[in-house]
Amino acid sequence: MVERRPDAPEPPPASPPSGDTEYTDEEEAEVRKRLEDLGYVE
Amino acid sequence: MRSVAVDILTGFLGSGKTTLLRHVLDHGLHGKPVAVIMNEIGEVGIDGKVITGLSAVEKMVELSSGCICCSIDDYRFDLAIQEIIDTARPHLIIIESTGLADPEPLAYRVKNAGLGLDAIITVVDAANVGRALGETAVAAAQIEAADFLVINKVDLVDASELTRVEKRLDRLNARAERFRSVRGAVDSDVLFATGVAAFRTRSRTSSDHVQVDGIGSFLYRSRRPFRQEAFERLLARLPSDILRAKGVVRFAGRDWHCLFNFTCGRHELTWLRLDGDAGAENQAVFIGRGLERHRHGIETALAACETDEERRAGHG
Repeated sequence: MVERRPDAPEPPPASPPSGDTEYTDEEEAEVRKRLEDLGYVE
Repeated sequence: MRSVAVDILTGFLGSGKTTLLRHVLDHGLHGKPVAVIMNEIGEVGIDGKVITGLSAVEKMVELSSGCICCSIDDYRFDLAIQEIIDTARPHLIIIESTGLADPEPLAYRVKNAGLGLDAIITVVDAANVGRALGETAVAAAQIEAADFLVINKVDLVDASELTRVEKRLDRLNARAERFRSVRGAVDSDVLFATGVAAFRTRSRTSSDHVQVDGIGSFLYRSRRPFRQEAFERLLARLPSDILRAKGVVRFAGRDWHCLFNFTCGRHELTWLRLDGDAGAENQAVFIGRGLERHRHGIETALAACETDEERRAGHG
């Protein structure tokens, strides 16, 4: 049995850094559509 | 950028990678924006010409001056990725490696570039896999790294030889899900990232949840946050019948949302801040075989991961 654990991802800070995470409406819609297409959300 | 998924398509020389890719681009990606990176050794990219012109492909970039796993530097790799994302805005990038590439370093590069590694798909030539394994260690590395193994050209071997091939593959990688194909025709949505959305739709519309490929799905939704450690432990212990699981969940103590991707025993977490409805609830889809046996246990285990503890004081 092959065991291949991924490298542990760096956890994000508990809160988003200010000024770095505000999406425009257009960006938010694009992210949302991408997540839908990839099956993460509906 | 982090919500762009990458599937790595690999396999030894002549195994049928490009044929499979062409079949999937023609039939299986449901019109989603897909970009392709083809890596060939040599000045003229023959395989690239095969793929160019397919309507499903938003963008194709050929890297033809070296092997993507070892001789193309990080700068050129990141540049190619950035160019694709800026110009094509794909939801999925498929990287077809050279036949001589070890997919593990490539997977590492993908993760380092901030992309989500969805799956490694390795195509194996049923008639010549023994010879490939005898020639170079890379052939074994490609099989060992796979989440999905596509045994291609099964029409060229008899049943006993196919059984021998499958036993050999099982010794090298028992974790991977295997498919058989002739001329790259794999009619399952489970291989590539964009197929998962189709399983979500099926789970809502199908009464028995199982389709012709024997693979079904179910959805789990809830509003309370999960305890991260318990959730990761659950992913690590999912039954081998579960081939894929994917979704967005919220962990107690974190404002960022977690995109989790489980593929054939391997899971990854990436992080994203979501507002509005997309981030209000946990949503997860589980895809696999024998779900009638597993569904209740998985749902119970998920519910046990939930907590009433909200976010840490001082963080929102």
